[in-house]
Amino acid sequence: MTRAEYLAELDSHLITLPREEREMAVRFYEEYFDEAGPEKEQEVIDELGKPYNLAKSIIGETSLYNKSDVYINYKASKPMPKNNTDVFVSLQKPGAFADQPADTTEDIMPKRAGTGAAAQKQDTMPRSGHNSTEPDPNIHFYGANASSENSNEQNQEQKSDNQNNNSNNEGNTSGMFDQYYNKGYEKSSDNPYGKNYTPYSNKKPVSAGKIIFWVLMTIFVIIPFILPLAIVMIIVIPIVMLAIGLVAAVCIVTAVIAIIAGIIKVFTSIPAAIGLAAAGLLAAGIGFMMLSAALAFFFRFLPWVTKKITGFYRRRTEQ
Amino acid sequence: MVFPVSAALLDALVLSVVSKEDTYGYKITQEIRDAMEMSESTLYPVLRRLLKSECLTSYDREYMGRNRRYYQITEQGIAQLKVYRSEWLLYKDKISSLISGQAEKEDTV
Repeated sequence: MTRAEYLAELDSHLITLPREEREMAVRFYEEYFDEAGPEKEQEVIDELGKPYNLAKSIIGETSLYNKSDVYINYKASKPMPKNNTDVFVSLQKPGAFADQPADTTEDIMPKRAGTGAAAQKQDTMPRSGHNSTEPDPNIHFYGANASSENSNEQNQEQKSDNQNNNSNNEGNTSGMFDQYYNKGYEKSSDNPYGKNYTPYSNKKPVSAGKIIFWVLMTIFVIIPFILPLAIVMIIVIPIVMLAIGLVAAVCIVTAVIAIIAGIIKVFTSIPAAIGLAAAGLLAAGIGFMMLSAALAFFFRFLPWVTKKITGFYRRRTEQ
Repeated sequence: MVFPVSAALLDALVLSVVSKEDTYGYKITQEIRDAMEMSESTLYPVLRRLLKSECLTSYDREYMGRNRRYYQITEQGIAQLKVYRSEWLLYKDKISSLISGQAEKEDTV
């Protein structure tokens, strides 16, 4: 698609807007292409996305002035570090500060509402008081406009109509935040900035989901498979280690006896004494090796494993 | 960037950029994109909104044989920016101290 084709298609999708709005929007993007230069033409086209989606974002903004229509593009091409998904919390939600002590909350909330109201006032923009589940009258108005496109007079007239409509909604500021966030939520399905980005109101605090995930993991994977294995390990390994310990003890006792016997044998038979001493030393060596292995298992390996397992669970659930 | 950006923050960013000097659409986008990831399609609705609410005005200047539309901040825009700035400081400190456990270390938007 070339720049001219792109702009023409954009223009055609903006047909429901009054002519001057439409011209302004197309002009803006025309200028944008100019500034970017012909060598970046394709890049800009790719970045702007489908003309239809772009038009939708423009129409959404100019007819409803719905602030939550503005999203930042989250690029799917840049994989996000895994850990970061855990910090997706909807900071923007009005209730985000709910966990704070009451006095701070009270301190913040009226201020925010005040600013919001101020912004609303300065807007002098139409904001439909209707819930977005109902079709907004403004859309119909612009739609009607399209058919009588050539009549500028009518355009003006309807515009002033529109203004009147909006002044009726001036007072409706209290539910403003709710409205923003709700709209953000409902609009998510036709998000003009790509499927990979979810608007903030869609984000649940993930920690709850994480906990559920790990509980399910525990029930379906850890209990049937890992747990029996662990039990076997827990029972068998200490028994084996205990056996090793016993063997070690026997070895050491044997070694002591053999060495003593060897020393006594020195007086009767030298070769027998050397043999017994050697056997005793050998038994002692094996005995001490096994003993240290058993001790290392009980006092190093077991605490380490326990720490790892509890740490693993703590990390999964505390995030 | 993993954090979603609200319309109010975009308004504040655009107002800040324009308050430094009169500038045009492409440059505003580039300046904001220096700070964070923003789709090129995001700016127009923001500008439109700020024009409608009379926080900005626009005028055309000729540049290399064509018109370039410049945006200028109005009194109302300056007032609005002031509100946004104080709100931002409040918000930033709260979020920073919550997220990093120590305020001011990282100003993540």
